[in-house]
Amino acid sequence: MKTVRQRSKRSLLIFKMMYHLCRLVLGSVLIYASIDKIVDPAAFGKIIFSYQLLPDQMINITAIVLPWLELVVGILLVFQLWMPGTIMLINTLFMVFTGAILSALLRGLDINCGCFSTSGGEGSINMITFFRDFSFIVMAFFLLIFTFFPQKIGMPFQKD
Amino acid sequence: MPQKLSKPLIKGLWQLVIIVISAAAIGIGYNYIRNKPLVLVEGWSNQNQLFDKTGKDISISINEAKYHFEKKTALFFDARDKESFDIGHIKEATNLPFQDIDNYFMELVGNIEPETLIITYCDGQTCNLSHELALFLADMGFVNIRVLVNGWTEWKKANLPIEPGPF
Repeated sequence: MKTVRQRSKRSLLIFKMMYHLCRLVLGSVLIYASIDKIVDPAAFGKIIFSYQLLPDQMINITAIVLPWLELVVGILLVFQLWMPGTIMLINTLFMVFTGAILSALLRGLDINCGCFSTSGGEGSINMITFFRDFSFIVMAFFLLIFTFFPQKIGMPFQKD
Repeated sequence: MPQKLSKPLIKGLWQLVIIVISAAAIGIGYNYIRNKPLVLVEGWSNQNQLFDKTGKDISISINEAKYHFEKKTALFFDARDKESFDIGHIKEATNLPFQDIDNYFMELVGNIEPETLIITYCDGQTCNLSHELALFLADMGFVNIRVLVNGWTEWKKANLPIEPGPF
């Protein structure tokens, strides 16, 4: 596999700082996003229903489990634990979230995002919601590259 | 697959499975000990959502809404954002964007009698802004709140009076 030549100490440091920044931002976002949904899973269920993506039988179980998954993954990210598995999961989660928003926008649905609140205070989803979530995918993807393919960005392979 | 990559990948997959199972166990366990646990499998429909906190059905049909519009016995509140409202809305409806309810509430709703019939609407079969707005108004003491499901689309389909442009 062709690799980028080894980077200078300065750029290695910048990449490491970016890694920790992305990790802390995404971890905090996930923890914050989980709280309201854990408190009111019924309201979160309504929001999941409004996306019209899951079959009826999956809505409540998703409303019960997904917020806890966000919380657990958020805590693991903040404390830098089990990073390979956590990073795989956040990439999957953010792709699913962004895909759901894009799909709802393309179908012209006028619904609450349910991203950070179940009360409707966030307002309807729009392109800003999509680009915000897309920026999370970019950060998650950077963490993925940093963890699994460090040589692609000229980093030495990570020891864990 | 290079050996350097396969090791963290396999490790990551194992961790992923354990994290998902743990989160599911915590979530289901916590739901079980809650005061009002959510049923794990439940039927969902639009009508399921259209009940107030006392279990009363608050949906209104397009014909009933039309009747109240013609008799001028109801106020129509559009729960969508200002941009959507400005493009078009039910004639004489008031824009009360649910996401900005705190900014608009006193100015637009403050002088309305609690017994007034209020019909909220938004757009799309599963749009829940109108339902959220209806529940909010009910919490504020209004006793006669109804929701016109998929209101904007239904209203246009029925060829009832609309107004383009800002309110």
